[in-house]
Amino acid sequence: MTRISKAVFLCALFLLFSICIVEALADYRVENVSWDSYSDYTQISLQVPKEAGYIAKDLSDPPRLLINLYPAKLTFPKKEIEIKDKFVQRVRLSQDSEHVVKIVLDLTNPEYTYNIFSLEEPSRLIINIRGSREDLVADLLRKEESSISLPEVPSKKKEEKVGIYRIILDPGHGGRDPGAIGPTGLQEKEVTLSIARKLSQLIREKMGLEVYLTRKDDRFVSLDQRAEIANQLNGDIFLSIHANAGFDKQAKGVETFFNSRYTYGEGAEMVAARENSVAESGDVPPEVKMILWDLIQNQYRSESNDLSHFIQRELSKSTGLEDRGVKSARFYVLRGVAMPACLIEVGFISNPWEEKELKKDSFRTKIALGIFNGLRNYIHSYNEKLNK
Amino acid sequence: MKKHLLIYVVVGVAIFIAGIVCAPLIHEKGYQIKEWITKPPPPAPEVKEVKLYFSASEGNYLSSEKRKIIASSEPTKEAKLILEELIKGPTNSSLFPTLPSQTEVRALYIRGDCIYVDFSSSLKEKHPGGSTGELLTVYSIVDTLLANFPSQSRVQILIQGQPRETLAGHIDIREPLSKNTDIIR
Repeated sequence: MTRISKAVFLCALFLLFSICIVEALADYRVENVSWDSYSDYTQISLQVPKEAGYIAKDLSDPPRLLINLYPAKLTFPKKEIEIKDKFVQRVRLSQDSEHVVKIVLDLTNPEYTYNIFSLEEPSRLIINIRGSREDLVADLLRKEESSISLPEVPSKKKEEKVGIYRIILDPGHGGRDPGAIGPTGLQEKEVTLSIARKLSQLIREKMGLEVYLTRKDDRFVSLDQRAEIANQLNGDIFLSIHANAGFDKQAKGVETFFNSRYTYGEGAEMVAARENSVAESGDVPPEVKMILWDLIQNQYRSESNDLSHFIQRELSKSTGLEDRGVKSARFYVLRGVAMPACLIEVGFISNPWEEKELKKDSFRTKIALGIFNGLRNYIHSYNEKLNK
Repeated sequence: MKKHLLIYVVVGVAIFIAGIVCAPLIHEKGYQIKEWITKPPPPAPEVKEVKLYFSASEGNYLSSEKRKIIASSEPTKEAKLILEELIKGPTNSSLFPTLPSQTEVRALYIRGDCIYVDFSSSLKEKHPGGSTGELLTVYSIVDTLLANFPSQSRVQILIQGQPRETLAGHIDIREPLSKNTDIIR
């Protein structure tokens, strides 16, 4: 008797459990794929689970955009949607593994840019495919012109000029992003803008170089926009100005960073190799090409390294702050910039003593002077090498 | 004699009824006793020593601290436990935490050679900012996980289920990150 009732109870429990699983999986459903063709871009929209994350990779030969979505489950076994427009040939959806949906966009043109974002209610993933990066920058600048008021860019091509003429200063954070906040409330965005303004005046007056700021006032500019503004302006040097912070309130000093060499991890290559192996063309090399922009920043790596050392030396001398040295890391804003570039941390806003100093106008002048001296020394050494 | 017989009958019936009432109880107790005898004592939880990386020397690098956790047969459970210890911060007073104390680990998946960790939004919202602070946060997570799971080679940080550009505007976390040994001393 007890055995039978136990068995019945277990069966009921199992049934309940499987219902729960089915219910849970139902939440991961991917359905309703739709698309729209516009003159300057193609938009693909699909209904996805609320908790789904995605990772996108661009693959070449033939040009494709691969998006892995997880956790996610297709309500249909497989799907191919023919679009055949200016930007996208077709969209292929398949279940890659139990909780991963693979979306592949076969693209019309090898020169393209994309952006992906999520929308709520219903939860959707929107993929926009546009033309080349140059078109996108031009587009972006046209749209931003009214708000950012970019100066007229001389049409002089980069290849024609030799030497350093145009400096891009990037005051960190701004607008709704205050950056780090000190113990008494000093905001990083205010410090960086004020130093950038002082520095720009010094460079213009003492060296007669052109200087442009990625933001002139307290406004939000995304990291992508900052890099694109610098590239569009054809700058020769990019200096991003920041104030530092950390969990350890005793941390102090100045530090300069440049972008570390960036390569794809092995996993990404594996994903791409598998994707390539199923591609129609047989002679595709198994290696994945690095993104053009990473290659470009890698190319300027030794200049960025020199620039960082010149600036770090003079900045620590002029401010008298501890010299934490030059370091390299994967900085978002530096990755997209096609010129020697570094990011300067002018002191710790999270350190009570350094916050007090950073409030003073005289101290900000010292910082601007330190960066200026470092930049000037770098340019001198660069010109000397050039004249040899 | 008749009186005696009646008493015997009444007592007999009473015992019979008492027996019926108590039998299941006794039966149950007996069962329990049997269980106590046959069931082996619960095994003592297996303790494992793990390595956690925290901010050291005014944020100039990461240093490790050993900590004991209860081992789990499931790697994802154990990885989550390790991160929860990392969030609690160091016990060594010369070290400093690298994650906001309000941070929660929402989920953790292991797929291929990559560990995907999904943190609550506190990791981004309560972060003190700064390149140094951000660098230490990112690599204390990556290096701690990869030191304790040597068969994995990359870590993807997610916030509320999504890959993000950065935690506080500096370090790129859009893609999985490999171990950074330069930052460890």
